[in-house]
Amino acid sequence: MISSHQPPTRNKLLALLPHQDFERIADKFEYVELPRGTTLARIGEPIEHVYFLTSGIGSLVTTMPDGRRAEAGIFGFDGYVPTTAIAEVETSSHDVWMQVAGDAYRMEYRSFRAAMDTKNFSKLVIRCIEAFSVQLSHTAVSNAVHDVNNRLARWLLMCHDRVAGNEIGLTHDFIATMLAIRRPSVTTSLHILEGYGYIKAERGMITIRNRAALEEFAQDAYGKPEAEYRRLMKDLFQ
Amino acid sequence: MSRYFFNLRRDGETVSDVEGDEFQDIDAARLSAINAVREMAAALIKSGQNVPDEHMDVSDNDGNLSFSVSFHDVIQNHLKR
Repeated sequence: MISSHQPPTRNKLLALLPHQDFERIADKFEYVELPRGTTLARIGEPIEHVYFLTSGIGSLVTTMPDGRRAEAGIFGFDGYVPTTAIAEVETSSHDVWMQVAGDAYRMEYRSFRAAMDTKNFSKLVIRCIEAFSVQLSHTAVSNAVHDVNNRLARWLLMCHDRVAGNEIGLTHDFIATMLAIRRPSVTTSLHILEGYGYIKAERGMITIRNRAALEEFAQDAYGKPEAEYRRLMKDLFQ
Repeated sequence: MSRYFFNLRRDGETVSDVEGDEFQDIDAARLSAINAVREMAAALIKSGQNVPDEHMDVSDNDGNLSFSVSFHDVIQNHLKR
């Protein structure tokens, strides 16, 4: 079922898929709204649906045995989740949930697996996985070498890429998880970026005020995975 | 569970924590505040910066000051060990 409110082509992958390939699976999609906090997958549990977001931001979260959490990666209309779906395993490798409310077209896991037997669809989702792994590897490096303010700038830019407009509904708690820092450090870091005029930070909402300056501040902490995504998804079906 | 707000005061100016965090009791909040100050002081030292004479003023849900953690005191305690 295709909703008239948000076309599936708002998801970049579905927009790239050749028309006849999309038509073949169009009736397998169900439009859903996803409030903040909606669980899309749980680690070790069977995958029920694969989601193609048309708005909002989801995140993959890794939980340590002691309960501490850290953000592994984020996705929005640039991808699909859970990524484990392409590995032909029935259960998810990550906890995945919505951090910024949005909506999506979802298909049942078995429909996704059937679509994976077709050439163009599988090429598309596999390319997307590779782009996502580039994001993850840069997060790993960034966590090791960049200071917290640059890392915050990076994540804010990545979130900004995945929302329409300049307002991002982020809690300080989520930002702390994204950066693997204690929550009071978020207060200071946001204050610094606000002082430079890059953002406005209110309770539950960050507004990007100067995108170009924020990118310049982030320096090499931001940009490479985004360029790699464009490269990997370019001329895919030429 | 009670909510506490971790505000930061330096040179008479305060940056307010607009969100806060929930804890079982004040001791849990204090432990969390000390750990947060440790993390922030360590990050400053690691990046080669000085640690200012900053204080984490923790207030309760009614806005009353519950306790305060001094950055310099936290570092001082680590020098003793």
